[in-house]
Amino acid sequence: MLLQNVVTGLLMGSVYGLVAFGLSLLFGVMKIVNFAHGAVLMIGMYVVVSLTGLVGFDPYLSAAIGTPMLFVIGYLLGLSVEPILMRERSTGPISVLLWTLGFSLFAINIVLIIFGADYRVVESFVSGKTLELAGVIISLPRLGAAIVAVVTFVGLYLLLTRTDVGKAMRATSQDMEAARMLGIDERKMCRMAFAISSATTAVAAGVLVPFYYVSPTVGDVFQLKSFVIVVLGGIGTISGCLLGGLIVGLVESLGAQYLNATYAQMVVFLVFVVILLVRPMGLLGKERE
Amino acid sequence: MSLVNASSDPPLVLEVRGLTKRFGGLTAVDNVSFGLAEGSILGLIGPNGAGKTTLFNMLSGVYRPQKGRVTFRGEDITGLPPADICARGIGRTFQITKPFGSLSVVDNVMVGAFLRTNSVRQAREESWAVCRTVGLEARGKLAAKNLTIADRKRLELARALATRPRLLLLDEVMAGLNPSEIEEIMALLKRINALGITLLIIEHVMAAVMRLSHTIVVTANGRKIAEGPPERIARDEAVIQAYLGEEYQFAPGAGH
Amino acid sequence: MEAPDLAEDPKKGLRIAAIAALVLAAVLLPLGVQNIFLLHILIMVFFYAYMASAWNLLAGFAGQLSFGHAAFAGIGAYISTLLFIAWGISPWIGMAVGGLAATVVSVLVGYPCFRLRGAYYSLVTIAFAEIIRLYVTSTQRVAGIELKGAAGLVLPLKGQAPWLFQFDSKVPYYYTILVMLLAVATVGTWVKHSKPGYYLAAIRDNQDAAEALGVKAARMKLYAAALSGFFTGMGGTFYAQYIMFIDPVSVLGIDLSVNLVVISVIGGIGTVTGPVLGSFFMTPLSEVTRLYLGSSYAGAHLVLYGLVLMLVVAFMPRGLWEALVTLEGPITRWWASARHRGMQVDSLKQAARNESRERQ
Repeated sequence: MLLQNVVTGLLMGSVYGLVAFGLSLLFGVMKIVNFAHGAVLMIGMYVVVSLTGLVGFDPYLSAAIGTPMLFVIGYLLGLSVEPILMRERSTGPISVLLWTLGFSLFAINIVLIIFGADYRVVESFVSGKTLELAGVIISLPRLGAAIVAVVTFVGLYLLLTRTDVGKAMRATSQDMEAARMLGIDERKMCRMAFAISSATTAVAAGVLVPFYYVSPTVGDVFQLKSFVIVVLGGIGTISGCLLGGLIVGLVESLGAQYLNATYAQMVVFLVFVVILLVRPMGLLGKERE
Repeated sequence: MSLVNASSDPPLVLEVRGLTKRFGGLTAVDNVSFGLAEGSILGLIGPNGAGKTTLFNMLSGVYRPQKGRVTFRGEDITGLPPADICARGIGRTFQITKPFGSLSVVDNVMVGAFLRTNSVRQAREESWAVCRTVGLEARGKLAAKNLTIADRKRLELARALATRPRLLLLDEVMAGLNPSEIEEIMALLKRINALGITLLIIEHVMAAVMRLSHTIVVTANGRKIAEGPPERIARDEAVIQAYLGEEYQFAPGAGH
Repeated sequence: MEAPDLAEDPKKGLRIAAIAALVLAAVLLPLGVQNIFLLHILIMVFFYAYMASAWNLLAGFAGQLSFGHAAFAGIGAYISTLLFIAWGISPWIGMAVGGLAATVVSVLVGYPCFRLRGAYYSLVTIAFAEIIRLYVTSTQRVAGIELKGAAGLVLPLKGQAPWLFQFDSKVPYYYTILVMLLAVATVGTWVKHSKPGYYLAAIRDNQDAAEALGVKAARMKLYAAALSGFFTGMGGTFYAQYIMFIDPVSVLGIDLSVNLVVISVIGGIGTVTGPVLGSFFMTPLSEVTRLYLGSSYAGAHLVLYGLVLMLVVAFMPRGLWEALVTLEGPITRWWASARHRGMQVDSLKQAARNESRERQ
């Protein structure tokens, strides 16, 4: 029983980590807190649902098509946000936070009006199938999600370490002033960060749809968890997102089993508060002097 | 090495002994000691990275030193937070000006004036007086964020002056100014000093600081490498090697 | 506070005249308006204006953007309601007690959290409010007192009972919230022009520079937090007494917290009239869409909130207040030229009279 919970928790945790990565990237590179992160996940999920419903693709194929679409949407978001960010050094990030809040309210409720509040469920070729290993029942869609998440992390690692864009982003996240002096265009960084963040979130959306209920407010709970993960694991590190995600996944799974679900959520928030007050750079992050 | 306070010398308003600050593996300030006579002007010079701003930040309470002591008018103020240090009579300006952008110039100065009074009217009166002293009276009602660089520097001075300091720490107040603005600021600083306020200046504008200061302290790599009157410093071998370069000529008689 | 010199600053004269006229209109309005729904909308407009103004005392004045202010509203609402249900204590007293409790919590929470700057602070406030909400949601009874968890508390109907903060007609509620709004606005104006107000503005604009001038930032922020918590808590009691039902979602939920943020930002953070403007602009939209589109399109008004927020942040960052202020110039000029024309006509008449006198 315990092993079952641990496995479920770890599988879900890796997906949580992937979802959190988008938030972490934006905060690390551009110092932006994206309150529309959940909305982007939600949009990704509805894109998959719509493509599957309209054209009859398997959701995983829809996700493959949806990811570049979300990349473009993210790029446009970055484009909209960039003048607000550049306007005033000191208040830029807070203004962007508020703008993304506005976008979130707008997007979630437009979707609510168009699609209604009902839950959507979409079947894929692996829905409902399970695998049994050492007495533990593993749901195939969740396993697939976790595998895709890990593969995506590897891809992101390569992106950040081997490509020019990735290296520019890492430089910007360490020291924006220095990066600017090296000729890195902040505006391009902003757009690319949003684009990559949204695309990554779209991948997560794609693998969630086969086993997760889709509704206009589905993003809210993922957004809060992402904040917790980012603070827990440290901002701007891939390993931090993965570690934070696994921890949150485990706590959630074990908590639901042994505690009231509501109390489990409370515990997560309490840990969040303690970490923010005691070690805001997270478990793996570096101290900023 | 600290200045010995003989009875004929003016009292030391500030005494720094063995001040040391480390950041991780880097020692930014290494065992620096000096004294500041009341009513004098001390110039702190040295190449970039010599630890000058770190020293300043320790004097103004932004950093806590690992070792050493700072004594102000006989009281140990080592490690006190910035607000307490200001309350005791040490004011400071910032190298990169930090105006209160949403407030007007006179409102900015009032924030300083409120340290010494609770009355809005009195704070306002004093602020206008300080604005007159620094030459900002005409722009008193302008929003602080619309000021030119020279006026921002004046505002930094005015705000600090409004707190009625005995000692003013000035962090590169002449940076970014053109020669005529530098002359104006120098005249202003002399006027402030004539009011009895001791000045401790970090500066890179050599001509100005040499003319202005009664004493110069030179630091390099976090250590003090020379201390004395400007004429002597200009000829000091170690200082020339570390910082000034052989070409620097000190013109005696300029200034005071 | 100095009396404004009207001759020197016609803009101030205009502002004072406008505010006086609006307050007078607000006071006289119920005498002429009978429409219950209109009264309800106005009550809600004043309520959210009040709550947003209370939020603004901390956020706009001290620069700490709290996204969890519903916590204080909920504390006020639950305390006054529980005192009433369990021991029959008048909600007027309960309002004061709830306000004080919210003040204490606000200061206690602020003490460790104000160290956090910017978004970190906002996130921690979300967490605190959620912790309180989750606790109340999952608790049926604590120390013998029925909290009823997610089901919420229904206030016992007492009919016309002014000393128990209940009225048959909406009009007394209207005046109550109007008085509360004027009170919080007056406090805000007084603070803004006082020493704490200057200190808070300095902290908001540049905390490091403020501290270098002797401002004890931590202490000042707690002062703002206390004021803000107190008024927000009392607002929670008003909500409970007007709506007659409270539950964790309505008085402790993130929707309420976000609403206060959005309204204040749209109207203009950091000014006393900003949040009021924001509520006047947005709350009617919310109530009307709720009426016409019903529960099937429950989020419709939020689409507008989101859209307006995005537009304001992008193009009018100082809020609607900024737009209003740009009207001041043309209006004062028009007024000045109208008076000038009036004087010209008078002097022409006078010249004509002199002429006719001379001829005689």
